[in-house]
Amino acid sequence: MSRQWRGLDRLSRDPAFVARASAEFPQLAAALAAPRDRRGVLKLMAAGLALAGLGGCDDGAPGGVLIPPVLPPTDTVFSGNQMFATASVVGGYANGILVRHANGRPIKVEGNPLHPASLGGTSAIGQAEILGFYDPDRSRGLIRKGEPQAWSSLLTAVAAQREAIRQSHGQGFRVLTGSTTSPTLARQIAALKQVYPDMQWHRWEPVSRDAVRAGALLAYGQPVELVAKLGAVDLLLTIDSDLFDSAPGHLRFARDFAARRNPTRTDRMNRAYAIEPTPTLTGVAADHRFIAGPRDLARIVPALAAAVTGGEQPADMPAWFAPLVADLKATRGRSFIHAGPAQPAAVHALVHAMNEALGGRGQTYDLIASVEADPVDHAASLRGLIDDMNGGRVTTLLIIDSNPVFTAPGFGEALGRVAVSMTLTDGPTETGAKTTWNLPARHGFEDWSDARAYDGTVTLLQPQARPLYDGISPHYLLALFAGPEEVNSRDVVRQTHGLNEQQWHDALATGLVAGTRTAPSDVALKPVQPAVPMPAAGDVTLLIRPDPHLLDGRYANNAWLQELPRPLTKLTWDNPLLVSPAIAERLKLTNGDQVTVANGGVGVTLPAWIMPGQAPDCVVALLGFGRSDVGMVGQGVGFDVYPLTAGRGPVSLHKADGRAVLASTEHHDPLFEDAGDYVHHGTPPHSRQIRPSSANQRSNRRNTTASLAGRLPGA
Amino acid sequence: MSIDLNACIGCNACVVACMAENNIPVVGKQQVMHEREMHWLRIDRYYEGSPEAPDMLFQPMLCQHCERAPCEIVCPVGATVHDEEGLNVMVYNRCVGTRFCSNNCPYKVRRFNYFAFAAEERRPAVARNPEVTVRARGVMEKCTFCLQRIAAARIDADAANRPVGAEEVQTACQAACPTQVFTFGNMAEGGQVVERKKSPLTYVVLDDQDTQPRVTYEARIRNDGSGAGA
Repeated sequence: MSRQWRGLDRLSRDPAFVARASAEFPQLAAALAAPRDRRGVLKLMAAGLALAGLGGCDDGAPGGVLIPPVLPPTDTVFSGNQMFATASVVGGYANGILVRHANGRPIKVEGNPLHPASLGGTSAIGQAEILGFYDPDRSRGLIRKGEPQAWSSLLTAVAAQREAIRQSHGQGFRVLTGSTTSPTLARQIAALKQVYPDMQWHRWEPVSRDAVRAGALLAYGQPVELVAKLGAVDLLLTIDSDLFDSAPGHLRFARDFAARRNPTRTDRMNRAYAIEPTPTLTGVAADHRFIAGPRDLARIVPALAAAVTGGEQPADMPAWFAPLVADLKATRGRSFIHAGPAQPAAVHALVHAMNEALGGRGQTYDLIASVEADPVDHAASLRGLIDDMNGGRVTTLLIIDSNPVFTAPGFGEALGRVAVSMTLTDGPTETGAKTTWNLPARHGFEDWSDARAYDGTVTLLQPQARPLYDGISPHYLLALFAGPEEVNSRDVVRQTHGLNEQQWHDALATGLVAGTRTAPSDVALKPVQPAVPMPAAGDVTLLIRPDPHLLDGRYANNAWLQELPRPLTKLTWDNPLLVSPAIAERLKLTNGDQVTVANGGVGVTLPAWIMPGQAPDCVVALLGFGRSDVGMVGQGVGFDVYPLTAGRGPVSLHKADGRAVLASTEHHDPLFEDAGDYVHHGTPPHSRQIRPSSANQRSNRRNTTASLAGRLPGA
Repeated sequence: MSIDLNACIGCNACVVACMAENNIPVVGKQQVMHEREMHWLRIDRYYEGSPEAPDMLFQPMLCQHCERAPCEIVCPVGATVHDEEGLNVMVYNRCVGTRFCSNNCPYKVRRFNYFAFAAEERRPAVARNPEVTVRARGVMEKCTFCLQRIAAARIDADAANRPVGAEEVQTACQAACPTQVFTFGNMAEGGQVVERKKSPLTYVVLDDQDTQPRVTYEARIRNDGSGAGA
């Protein structure tokens, strides 16, 4: 058994590191060397504590800080904890949550056990939503060209717009949103199109699922979505997949997968294979993780499809290829293959074909009609909008909950040609600062809305508190563009679903509308042979991925998520370029060395971080950092790599001058054990034996191998 | 508590849930570089093998609530002691900040308020959990097994004149976990946690220290019995 290690400097026995780690106070030297005013750097000082919007909650304590007492004052009546259902919506898809209220105010997010996408679990982002709700940097008041305005001026302005748009039948009127599944929002936009037939609805999600959609179109001619049933999966193959970390339904998938992982509690332990260029949570959870760069994948996936669907035996494949194919064929009807959104459409189409050939449809997964409302190709949709803006064909632009100035290179310049533009957003954004109007949106915990889960289940969002700051909901704003009546978003949402009093009550109590899961589709596979495009050859392949916790940057002002050590790198407050050990070796890089990565003519200089287990030719740039207008927490943290998304190659990587100090916690709080065997693991029923342990666990000193024998598939 | 490493995917939901439940402050990049982050629960990630293609292993690490707790014997003021339910509790009002406990903790799970991190938070005080004390500068803190949740269940049980049920209390990390890694309960009443601790996969971390922790782990099993690789 080899020693386990946490960081590369530890592995290489860097003498400086060893000396530091074995000193009794490893952090002391750095702390003493830091300047006395070091705390000023944090920007986390108490500056924002005088909160105008919360004046009613302040009891006048000095400095405005309330410290909950150890024992409550004698006249305090504790009103108990209550839970109210709502949803955390990421990328349009709902995860059901319950919000716990203490003495009438929301303080904690829990999962909704009744919701199919949660089953009681939550994601890190879902948990952190409560901090976003109380964020003192949230938008307050509406702003037109940098000047605060009264609400009446918005009504006047929209009334003028309505008149102008009506005369042109909506030509020049554009609405831009992120990916949405909200039946109410879709209904409202459809109603707008009735009034203004020539208007257009654009969609833009910077962390794109375009390839997933395009792959379904290739394979089935319809934008069907996958619903994995991992409880029935004996063999899972993931290709650069986001199945457990960000795919719609990921919490449910992780739950179903994990339920069949402990051989002492299941006699049907599943087996997982992962093929991926850079480590993902899905790959790390797998039993076999195979490293393959994009060029390898473009060769291997078609060969795999040929082997699975046609029985061919392709030559020149890695050693693991033939056994994998054999295992897939041996588990016919009990296997499932999943590809991630970064893979091209052709790979998704091939995966669909393989899944059909392996007989999994209906058993290990279902296909359902698109959950996303009016699915379109986001890249094309945004490109069309930018072209029209540059061509002067856009007169009124309404941007709801999207930040294209930051996430889409070229959008900010085009925006200058639009006469009237409005952003509706619940916090400062780069886009809001550039549009004519910046309208404060209510937080998701402050207003009514709806969204659908990965399986189509309609999920209701209900307000958890009265708005902390003045704001409006998208439903209110869209209705205002349709006609002069001001609507209540509760009424709009309720009208969408047409529920009677009892059904409405039940839906709010459970958080979902019963019986709204989308039925499986019986669409047939089209006989196509998609060609997987071969990425350009080069020394370096650039992959651009969302940060695990900030995603596309929308959570950049959430201090909990900023300081949350990333699952694999354990980095906080930064997004260095993840380079493979091979590239680090070639360029003589150590963690923190500055590098310049260029894609076509666009270059970004940022520190490097060596990612063990990454494909030799790959570097990974993480989106979501480098926000310039987001609030005090996220402002200027990390590096903006969105400019790289505009480049079309070739990719180059050079070492630049200087070093940056990165805050990774991977070497913090070290445990010391001579054997270096911190995490016990093994591979039953033979080979390496688990070390059962502990003085107070002596009764457990049984032979692990014997007790597990015969309980595993393939054993 | 029993932690099943077969289920852990390292997603960090438990870490944020713990911060929300227990009023844990953030400290900023500079202080993280000084190893002063305050997370009561962290997920250690270990590599095994070569840097080119290592195995990656997660191990959630929190206060192990040791029966023979190294932290307790070195505290000069009795600020960290056992209670009758087997918890290792911190008495914040007694703590004078010697940090002996932290230095003597082999699991390195204790957190010290080098500055008034909580008072400097930008979120309003109403956002905090009113049932958890906000710690001041100079005080040591650590995982309490969500003592406030245990106390609430104990009050309910006392009112009904019955013992606290085996699975009546869910810790914040346990409740948030999408894959049900954590099992927690009143072992005097049996239940799932007792079952899990009998699993042949169960082990304790740093066994050789003989601290007799109340947190045990179930070893990770890789199902590579047949087929490719390995």
